[in-house]
Amino acid sequence: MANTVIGSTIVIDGEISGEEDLTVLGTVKGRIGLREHIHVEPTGVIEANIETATITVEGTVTGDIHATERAELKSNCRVVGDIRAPRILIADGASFKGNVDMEG
Amino acid sequence: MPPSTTIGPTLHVRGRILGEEDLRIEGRVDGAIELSETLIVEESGIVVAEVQARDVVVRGIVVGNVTATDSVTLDAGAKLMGDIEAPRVILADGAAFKGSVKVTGAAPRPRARTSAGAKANRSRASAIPRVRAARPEAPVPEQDEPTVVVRRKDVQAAGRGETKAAKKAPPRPAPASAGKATKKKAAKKKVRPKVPSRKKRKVSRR
Repeated sequence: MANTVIGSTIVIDGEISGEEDLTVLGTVKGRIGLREHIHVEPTGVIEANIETATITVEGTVTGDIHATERAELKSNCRVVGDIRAPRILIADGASFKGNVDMEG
Repeated sequence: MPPSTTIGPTLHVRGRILGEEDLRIEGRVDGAIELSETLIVEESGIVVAEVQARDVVVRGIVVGNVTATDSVTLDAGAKLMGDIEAPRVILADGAAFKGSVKVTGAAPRPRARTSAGAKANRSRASAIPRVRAARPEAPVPEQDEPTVVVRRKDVQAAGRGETKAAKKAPPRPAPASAGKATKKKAAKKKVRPKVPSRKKRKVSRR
C-alpha cells in the first residue's frame, strides 16, 4: 500500500480524504477522513477533526479524533479534543485534554 | 529516515498546500499548491489547482495555472490545461497542453549557464582566429605568400602586362614578322611574362 507522507515543512490547509496510510510530519489544518492508519510524528501538527480506522499520535493534535478501531497517544504527545474509539491507549507522559468515549 | 512528501494515489486533498520541500502527488489535489522546491505530479496524479513552485514536473494531469521560478516540464503522457509561466518550459513529445506559455526572465541558473557558455564561446571564438591567424603567418612567407602575392601581382601584372605588352609588343615583333603573327606573339607574350615573373620573384625573395 502506498504510503502518504506530509513532510515537515508542508502545510496543508483543507480537507484530506483517502484510503491509505498517512504519516504527518508537517502541519494539517481542516479535516482528515481516512479508512486506514494515521501516524502523527513528533514534528507533526494537526489542527483538524480526524476520522480514521487507527491513529497513533506522537506530535500535536488539536481537534476531535474519531477512530473506528484504535487510538494511541504516545508519550510526549499533546492532544486537545475529544477522542471516540473502541480502544484507546494513553501512554505515560502523554498530554491530553478532552473527553473520552469508548462506546464507539 | 527523511521521507519525501507524497500524496498517495487514493488520497484526495481539498485545500491549500504550502511547503519548502519536494512534493510528489500520486493522488488528487484540489485548491492551491505553493512550494519553494520541486512539485512532481506523477502519472496517477490529478491536480486541479493554482500551482506555484520552483520546478514543476508533470506526468499526470494538471488543470490550472502553473507558475515556476525555474522550470516547468511536461513529460510524455502529461496533460495540462492552463497557463504556464516560467523561465524555462519543456514540453516532451506526447504531452498534451492547452493554454498559453509565458517565458519570463531567465532564472539565475540557466542565465549563468548561457552567459558562461557564451563567454566560453567568445573566448574560443577569439582564440581560434588567433590560432588560425598564427598558423598561416608562419608558412605563408615560405610557401603560400608568394603564390598569393603573385596572384595579386599577376592580376595587376596581367592588367599592366596587357597594356605594356600591347605597347611593347608591336615594336619587338614588328621588325621580325607582320600582322597576324604579331597579334599571336603578343598574346603569347601576355602569358609569358607572368611565368618568369613568378620565378624571378620567388627566387629573389628566397
